[in-house]
Amino acid sequence: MEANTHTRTLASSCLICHGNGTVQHAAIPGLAALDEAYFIKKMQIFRNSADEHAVMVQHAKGLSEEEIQQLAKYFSEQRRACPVAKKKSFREMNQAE
Amino acid sequence: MNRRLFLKSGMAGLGMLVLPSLAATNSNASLGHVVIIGAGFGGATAARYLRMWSEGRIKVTLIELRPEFISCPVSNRILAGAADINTITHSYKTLRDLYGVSVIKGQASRIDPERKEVHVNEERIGYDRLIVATGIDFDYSRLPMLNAEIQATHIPHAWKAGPQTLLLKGQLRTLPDGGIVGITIPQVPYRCPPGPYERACQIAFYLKQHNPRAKLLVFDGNPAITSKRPLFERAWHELYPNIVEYLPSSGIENLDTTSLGLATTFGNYKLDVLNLIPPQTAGRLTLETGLASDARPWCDVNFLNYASGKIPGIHLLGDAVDAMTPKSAHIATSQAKVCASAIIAELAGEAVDPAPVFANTCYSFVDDKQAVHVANVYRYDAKDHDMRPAPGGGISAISSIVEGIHADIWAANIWADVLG
Repeated sequence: MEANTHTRTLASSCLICHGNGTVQHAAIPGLAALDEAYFIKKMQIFRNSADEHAVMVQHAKGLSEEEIQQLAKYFSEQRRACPVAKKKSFREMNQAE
Repeated sequence: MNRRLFLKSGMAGLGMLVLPSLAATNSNASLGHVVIIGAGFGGATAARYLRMWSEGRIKVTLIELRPEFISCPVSNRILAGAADINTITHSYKTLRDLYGVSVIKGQASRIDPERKEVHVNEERIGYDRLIVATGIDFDYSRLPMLNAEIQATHIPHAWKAGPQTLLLKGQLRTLPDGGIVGITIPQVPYRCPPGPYERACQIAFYLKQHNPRAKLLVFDGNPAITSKRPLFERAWHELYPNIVEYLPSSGIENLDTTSLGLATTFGNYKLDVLNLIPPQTAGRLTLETGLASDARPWCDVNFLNYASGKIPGIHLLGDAVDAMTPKSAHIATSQAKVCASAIIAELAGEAVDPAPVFANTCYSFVDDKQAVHVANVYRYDAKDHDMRPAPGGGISAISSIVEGIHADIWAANIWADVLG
């Protein structure tokens, strides 16, 4: 197996809210290809937050430091896919001009 | 199929979930055949992730009676008119065509653990591993006046989404002016702990708009609201103060299924619409096969691979599992991923994760736009051999439109994760 199966399973459980790597839903950010250090920093902010009712604070406090580091590495190595274009592509627009 | 799978995956661009090239694999590298009974959140997720994570080396057969996937999450919103049946109905086409899962439409009638066979549509299908993900069935043993036919025609449970949801919706729309609606909630454990209370909000929202003199009586078999309690209490108090009446510790003593006269622990009521959510057990097939725990109608498993504690070669997923975790869709998908990962490792002779960890997030709508959540990480406890809540979990402070938006995204993403 390429990825550590522990991290892979945990990461896949994040996708239920965060989605599979496309950027369709900006209100819950996609995790694929996030910068490793940025992910760790964000999770540290959540872990240290006093806002005990915020959903990501609740999740971050439940993870170990090591798991956060492994998730950061795992997601940073994923490819971020573009959503399927519903409007004309840039090339089509250029051709029309 | 493999070639098609390979070609399509190259174009699909599924980010981290990109299917690996199957060009290098051949039938000699096959790790075995996994048969899955039930294509709900647990079963369908197991099918997809077994194919994806084994890189096509595991053959997967998925047996499901329903032609399409119908989601219980979001189904309550149909009662309010905030969603329709198409919103929650999804195809198995991607699992079949892109992931190469063999989907058989039919009812598995028998499991033969000795021969490692499942009986379906007059056929016998052999397996190396079997996953049973058949969800819940209803227990009428203490409600002798009730049966499946009565529930199908005029006292809906609407606890398996689809025609039942539409039956209840239709009854609410023909409720007499100022009529009385009742919901009965069974004692825990049951599928989707916050579901009945979200349903009360959705029915009350509809009544407030269309039949404001009507009443909704919530007869709870439990001593208090079992999930997101302060949030539902506040919603009923602030949004539906003249509509919702909550009656805790209300067991059903008697019911006239014709007149809808209901006798509970505390009184007699005459209802115009009754949504009776019966007590539940693991699916009948699991009980008939002998997969239930010794004294409980739920199935004990090894939480490292979801193998049955009773019969070797069989795994169990979802609401049927006897667990500390809530019987939620997110939990069912997480269990499926732990199970899929472990089956692949075992069939390949590799080590299984000795301490799985996963998350659960669950949203409930309190009106047409605002939602609330409960969130928790669950961690394997090697001492108790169970999944236990990690520190930090909890619920929303208040309901909000922002969480309503999050809930809609959750739904879109979980359906995409389960079905591809």
